[in-house]
Amino acid sequence: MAQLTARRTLTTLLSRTVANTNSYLSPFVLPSSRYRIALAVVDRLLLVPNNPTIPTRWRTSGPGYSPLNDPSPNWSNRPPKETILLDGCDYEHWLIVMEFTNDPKPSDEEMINSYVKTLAQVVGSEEEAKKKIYSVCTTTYTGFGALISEELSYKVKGLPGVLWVLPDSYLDVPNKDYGGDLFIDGKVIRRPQYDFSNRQPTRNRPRPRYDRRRETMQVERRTPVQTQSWTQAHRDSVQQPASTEGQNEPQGGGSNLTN
Amino acid sequence: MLCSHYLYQLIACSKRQTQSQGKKIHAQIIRFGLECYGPLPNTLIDMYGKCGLLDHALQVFDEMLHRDYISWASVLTAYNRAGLSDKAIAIIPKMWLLDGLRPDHFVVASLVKACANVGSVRLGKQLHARFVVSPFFDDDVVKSSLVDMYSKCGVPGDARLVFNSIGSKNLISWTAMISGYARSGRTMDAIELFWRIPEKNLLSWSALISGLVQSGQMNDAFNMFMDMRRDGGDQVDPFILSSIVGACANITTLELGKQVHSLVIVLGFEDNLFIANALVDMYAKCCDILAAKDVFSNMSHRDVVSWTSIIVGTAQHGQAEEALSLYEEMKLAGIKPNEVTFLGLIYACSHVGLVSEGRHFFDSMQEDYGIRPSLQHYTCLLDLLSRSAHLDEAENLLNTMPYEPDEAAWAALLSACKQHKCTRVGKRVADHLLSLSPKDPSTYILLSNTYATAAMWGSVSRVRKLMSVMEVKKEPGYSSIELGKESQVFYSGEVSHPMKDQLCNLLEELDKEMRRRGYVPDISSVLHELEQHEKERLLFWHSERLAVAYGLLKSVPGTVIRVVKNLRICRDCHVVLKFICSIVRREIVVRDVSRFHHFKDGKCSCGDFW
Repeated sequence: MAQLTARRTLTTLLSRTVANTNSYLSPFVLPSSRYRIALAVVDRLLLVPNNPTIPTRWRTSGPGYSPLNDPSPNWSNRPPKETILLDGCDYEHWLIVMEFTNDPKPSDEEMINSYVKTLAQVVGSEEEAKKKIYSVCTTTYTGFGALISEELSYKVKGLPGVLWVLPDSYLDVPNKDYGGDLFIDGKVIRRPQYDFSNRQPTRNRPRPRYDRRRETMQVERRTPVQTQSWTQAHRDSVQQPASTEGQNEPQGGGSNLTN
Repeated sequence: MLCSHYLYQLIACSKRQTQSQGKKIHAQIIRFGLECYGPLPNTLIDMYGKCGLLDHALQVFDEMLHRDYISWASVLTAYNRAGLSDKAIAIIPKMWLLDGLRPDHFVVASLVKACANVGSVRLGKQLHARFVVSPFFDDDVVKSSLVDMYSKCGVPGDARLVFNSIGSKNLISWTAMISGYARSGRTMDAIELFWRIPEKNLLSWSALISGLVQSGQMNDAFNMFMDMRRDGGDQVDPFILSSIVGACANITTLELGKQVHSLVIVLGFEDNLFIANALVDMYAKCCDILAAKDVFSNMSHRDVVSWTSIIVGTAQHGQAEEALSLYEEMKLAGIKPNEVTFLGLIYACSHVGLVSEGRHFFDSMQEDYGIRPSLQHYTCLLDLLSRSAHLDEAENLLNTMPYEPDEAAWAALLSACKQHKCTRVGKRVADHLLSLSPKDPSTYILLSNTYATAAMWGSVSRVRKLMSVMEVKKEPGYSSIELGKESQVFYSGEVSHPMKDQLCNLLEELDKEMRRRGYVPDISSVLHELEQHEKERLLFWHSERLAVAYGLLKSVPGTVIRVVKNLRICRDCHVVLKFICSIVRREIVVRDVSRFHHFKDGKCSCGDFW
């Protein structure tokens, strides 16, 4: 038990600082919020402060990771209270994402064919696979939705070309819809309202070179790809929450107040 | 006529933030001699401020012959945008000194915003006081910025008072107020106010959810997230998604994390950098390092956070060599490491005893990247030295480092002395540690054991006496396990679980097989004064064993069993789990308070030193 305190400290610190880093690059943080230079005492209003600056601290003004704000060590000391399931998630509906090579890129029919053949390997036949598949997509992502047991889903994971097998839930909650294009009796019914491929312009999906069955992963050297213009534009166009900027910009021609 | 033409163009530039265009227009304005004409200079300042060219804005400002309120307000906004809010505050006295102007409501609003940015509620209150007695005391814009300032500075009560006084509240004031409540952990207030907003939009949801996540109210955040999705409409935003993923990482719910990941893919945000970073971190924290690597390798663009997350993740999962080679990749990719990267690297080195590499990283951090080592870095380095039995050097480090080492640091060194059976250093460290009046009961146990090993019985009884005076409150141990749809929490010594008999039977069967293979229970970790067989029985009911047994009974055969424990895994359970994983031939991953243990084929990834 003796090493307990030491280890706890290490990990606390490790997780907290990871949290800091992640949040300091959060999408909502404008450069102004990134560093907080604590002002020492300002004696009189609007005096030029001759105050020594206190060393910068990371500030989590952003999102997601907040072990720093949580006084207990690296994760919540309370046991998880309840199991939370997203709407439509029943562990019978599974989203299976597959990877295809980019040269040449297969056609939509070829991809859907792949989906059927892949599922067929675990359900027994292509007939059966066609019955189990309830949605397909070749635009926003390359994958399909299948109605199978949790046990079978694990078998799918190991198949070649399968990237992810994840529990599916309603994309459109009010309409209880899993999204994608419908797949009924081998027929595809397009649903453009669920096509979000415009959110990711020109995605260069790397060729699959990680074989999950291997123990270790070989990370290949890659040249840094130019920043996705989408993420940049999105970051700039979304306002910081609770920002009063929009109201406070004086436009040319605003009224002058005299004292 | 020409003037209004340029005015129009400049305003367009401000909106689109086109720097080069703006500069061209400025050049034309100068050529026509209009640079001091009418509203043009103010508009130029505004444009440069919005385009992020603070220096240009300041230059125009300085060269202006007749500055007015708008000039000042524009320049303050420019400072705020450039992240120099402290400077914005600093130049205000010059407003009166140079131009004989007192701040108007626009200026005050910008100043209040500056206070919010630097977190100075004290200055904010002064501004508030001035505002209240000014002619524009009823201005809603200033009030809105006050609400935002009080919220950001963590005083939602004051924010609410101002909020109530706003005549016509707009969405921004509502959002600021809700954000303030959420971030201070006042969930009920936040939610109650939220439902009263006349017209909610994505920003409102975002403020609420991210605020809740920030203040640690994860379950509330998840529930609000689900409410948001039930509301329908185009209610989706990558910022909210990455917050939620982060929340999953924080309370280690792998299954919910996977559900959100699925949503991310279907919504087309798979390649969003922030979400991807959040996913890497979430999978690593939730005991699935392979998935973390998958996400990482599929990212088409990575930044320092991506690399750091995967390096720290692999380090914590005991894959030190990989962490180091990832760092080499990172450098080749031209990404500069930050302080957290180095923390992960030194941590990785300490795991496999790469002392010289660890020292090298510690030095490189300062020399090559100008990063000052923090207490955390020193602690990691200390750990590296202790684990590799460089105990004199470790002790020296504790004595010479620029931070005050705490009880935990000394205790770490002491336990290393015990591990390496170095009583010479151990005695010194023990005495020093005792003089610090430690608070943690486990420290006393360590001290008592150390003195006992050195046969210093006087000290042993002294420590025991101190311990009995102290209220030794041990934290209850619990382990949680997630199996698809359901999750279970087991407490040590739990005797009331509905499946108790089945669990007991399974554990006893395994126990028999283990003893056949040479297992002998290690009772040194049991603290109570009990008989041998009673101690063994106590070990039997440790929460991680119950969780693993449950996992064996209920999970899909052949899958990895993942257990999360709130305390350090005890010595005996560590041995037991090594046996179990080879008996049932399944991989077991246990996350304890400090690292991940991957039990496979009778071995553990931590190398039996944790």
